[in-house]
Amino acid sequence: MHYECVIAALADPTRRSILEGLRGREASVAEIAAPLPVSRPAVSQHLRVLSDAGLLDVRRDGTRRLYRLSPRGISDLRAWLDTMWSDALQSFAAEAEARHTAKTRRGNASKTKDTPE
Amino acid sequence: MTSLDLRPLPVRHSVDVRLPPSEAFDLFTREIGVWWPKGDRRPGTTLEMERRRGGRLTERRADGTRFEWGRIAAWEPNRRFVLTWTREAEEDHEELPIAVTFARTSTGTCVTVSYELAASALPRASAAVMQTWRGALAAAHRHAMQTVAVCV
Repeated sequence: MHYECVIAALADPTRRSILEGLRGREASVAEIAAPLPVSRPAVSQHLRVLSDAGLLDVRRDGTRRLYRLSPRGISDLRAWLDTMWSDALQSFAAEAEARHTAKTRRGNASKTKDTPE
Repeated sequence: MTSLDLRPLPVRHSVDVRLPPSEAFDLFTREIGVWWPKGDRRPGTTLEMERRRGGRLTERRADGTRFEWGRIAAWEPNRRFVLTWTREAEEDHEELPIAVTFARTSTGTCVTVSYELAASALPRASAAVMQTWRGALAAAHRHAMQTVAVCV
């Protein structure tokens, strides 16, 4: 997954609207553009960015091009969010372990100091 | 045509640490700027959490400016808090609530991060997180514009 492309694709509110409008259905450029306050050429451009980012699949049906959400793109996004949290928790656990070790060492040191030989 | 799974997806990540819940909670919240992966933010920035309900999680830049990552929607010291990941300065402002719980175990604490995510919410949720990581939205858009040129 090219995250830079995905970031770019998702940064635009119109493109997010397009993705949401496509959930559970396939649609042509005309159908996608109908509820949107932007021109069809602009919608086509947005569709290209989304397709290049791997978020949309496209197929030809006669003269029309039909777009739908890419299952691959969606599962990549899920995986990406998952990775973010598992990385963050690993980092947290490493710091917690360092604190635990420091505490144990301090504990041992003071025990040694306090205990008369 | 492969069908797309649109069921809400419960996401859970857990980790066991050898600290009691109070210390794990303190480390997680008070010192989030210490342990949060450095790769996710700009150099010279730090993260700070206002530890109370309604408090903010903010990224503070070297020049003193702040950027909000999220807000605390629920605050139960040493047990649990809920963070809503926000994007300020966005019209279609959307929130992704993330619960973090601290459960006592025989060896310390089990810390669990959980949230529910519908496939339909993924683009927004991902955009929120990605844009947060990129810093201010304006910067994200600028970056996006440059990146589009590279990707297309």
